[in-house]
Amino acid sequence: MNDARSKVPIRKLPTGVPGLDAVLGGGLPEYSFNLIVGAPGTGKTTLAQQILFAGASHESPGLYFTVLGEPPLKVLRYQQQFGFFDPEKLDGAVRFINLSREVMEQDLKGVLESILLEVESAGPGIVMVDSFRALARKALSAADRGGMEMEEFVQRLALHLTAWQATTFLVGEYGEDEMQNNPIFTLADGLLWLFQSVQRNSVVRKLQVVKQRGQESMPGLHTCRITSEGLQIFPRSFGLVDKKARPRPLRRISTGVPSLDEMLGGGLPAGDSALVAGPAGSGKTALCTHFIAEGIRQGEPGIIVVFEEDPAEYVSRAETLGLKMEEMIRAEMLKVVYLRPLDLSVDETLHEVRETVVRIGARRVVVDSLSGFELALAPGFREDFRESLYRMVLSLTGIGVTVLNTVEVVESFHELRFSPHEISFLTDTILLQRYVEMDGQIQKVLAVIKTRRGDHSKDLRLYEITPEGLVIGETLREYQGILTGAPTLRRKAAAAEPAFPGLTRPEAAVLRTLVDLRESPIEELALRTGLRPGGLRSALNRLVALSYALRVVESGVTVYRSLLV
Amino acid sequence: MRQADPTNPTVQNLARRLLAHEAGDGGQDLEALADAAERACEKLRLHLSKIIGQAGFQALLARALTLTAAEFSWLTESRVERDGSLKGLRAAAEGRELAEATAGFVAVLGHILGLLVVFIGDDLTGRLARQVWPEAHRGGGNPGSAE
Repeated sequence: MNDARSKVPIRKLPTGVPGLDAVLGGGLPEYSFNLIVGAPGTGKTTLAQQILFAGASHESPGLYFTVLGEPPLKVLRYQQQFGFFDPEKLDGAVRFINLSREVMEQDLKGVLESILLEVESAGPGIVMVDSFRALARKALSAADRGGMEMEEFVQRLALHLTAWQATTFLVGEYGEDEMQNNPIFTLADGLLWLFQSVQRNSVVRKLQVVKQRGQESMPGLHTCRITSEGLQIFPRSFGLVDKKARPRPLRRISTGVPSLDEMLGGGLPAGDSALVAGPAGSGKTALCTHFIAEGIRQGEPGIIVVFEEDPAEYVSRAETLGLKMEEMIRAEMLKVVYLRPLDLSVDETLHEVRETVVRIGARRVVVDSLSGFELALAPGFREDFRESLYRMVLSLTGIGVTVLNTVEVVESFHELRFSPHEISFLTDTILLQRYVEMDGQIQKVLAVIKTRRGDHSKDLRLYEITPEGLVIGETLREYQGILTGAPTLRRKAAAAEPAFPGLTRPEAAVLRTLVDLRESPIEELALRTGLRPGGLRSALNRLVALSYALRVVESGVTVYRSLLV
Repeated sequence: MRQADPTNPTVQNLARRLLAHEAGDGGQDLEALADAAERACEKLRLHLSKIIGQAGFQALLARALTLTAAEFSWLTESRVERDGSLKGLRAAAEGRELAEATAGFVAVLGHILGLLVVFIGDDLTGRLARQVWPEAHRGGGNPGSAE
């Protein structure tokens, strides 16, 4: 009899509550006897009715017994505001039955008989009793007079309704302190507990499957939200359970900045997570837009998740860098996800991102920024920010998405706190941007700090944010102490360094390359300097204008020739 | 869904239609009409009490009667019993013109339906009315909707 084939199959009924079936381990066990409990305002009635409307049909109706508590007229008034409330089903599939008179005029035996009479007459598939706490109070007073006790009432109800093949829910107000040693909870097959907690100015709703007989439910507290569509659960595992990390073959993808790809040893490994750390205004967002735009150029849809900035502003800022985000959005290759700040849970955020990833088939995700993400979370979730990030990154990279996060670092010229969240362990690659003081100017330098797979450049390179985006310049070989923020020129280099009056650093870099090559077409220079065509062209125009170089057209081909020896 | 009120003419039309349906051939007889109005209220009571409770229906009817009595003071002689049934319409209407009595009975029914529209909307109210009088609703719309 222990053979797996001899087990009785337990059908799992869909609850109609997004996320709940996953938490329950596949759905509601058919014919189970369940309790939905929680404090007032936690969404018990909404959850019960959502399940009722999802499961009831004319062939297998749902009965909703109201017992004292909220007046049924109000229940109908408020619940019809939810998207799940289907008025068509009120023509027989869903039946509301009020038992207030029975409760007031009879003892629990009479109430039980009334319920059973209706059940036997309708043959329902689902039965709800809201609220059974009112019955429990009635039972307390009745027990003193020798009437039926609540435990007996629940037991007989469970017995009958199971025999009549109904999946049953009792809805009741109970506090967390009442969870232990309650004989009614012992009788139930399933126990769904709803919580609502206030943390500073934010309200966080959670659901826990305290008990579920017959199948394995997902442990822990799951965030939920009540929207106009009803209750939605955000399972905390994000479907990570039982998923083992599979080794992926190393495939590199371009960041959209050729020189950076070179520094990374050929680009970012696909399916990895990378972190761009830098102070405010250092160009983290510019790098992100290159990364997303490059993906789209390669046919890989992308998502940008923003928390601080209005998406329209974000898009228009990217347009100033020459990246046509509006067009990408119209082509459904890009989605900018803006999440409601201040009372988010990580589970909700990730749910939204994952849904969007699946919807548009995204291969690249930018989270800009983790600092904004942390701020957007309800205070209670900020305490677990590191754990949350871990789950989020794992979940996205687990489905093969390459993630680029940004984080704002706090820096002064004397101190650089690399990551305020100590989150570097979460990422496979870390790029650092920082300001340095050089030649009486504030300059920006970029370095690859870490790559988990493969070798990477150890160079510290200057970069600029130009109208054409992020442009990486020369390596600062002649300087030392760059990461202090105030580098000094090495003595030898200072003496040997030829001066190029009137040139910017990218222009000087182009000139140096041209001197090495003596003459070169623009394509070769682009390859060697990593500059974008627009930036390179304007640098070359300046070199020609200042008589550092000559533009020569030979056999229809334009080449640039250095005038320096 | 637009906001409905108990004096909504569409609701009153539905009430008039239901009273006529209930009265059948007795529409020109004051006593028969009073009985028909009580019968209509009783049908509503039996159906609605099951859903919103006996006390719920009793409160609704008492409110409807108060609203109606503001226009038809002679209706104060009728009463709502504890079980939610309406009694005394025949006695209250005694000596009234048929048209005035009819308007009063229609107003009582109209206010019950109108209150339901206010609380649960014209769609659900229409469904409930159709469940009580399926034969009177062939092709009928919702009570709060414009005809």
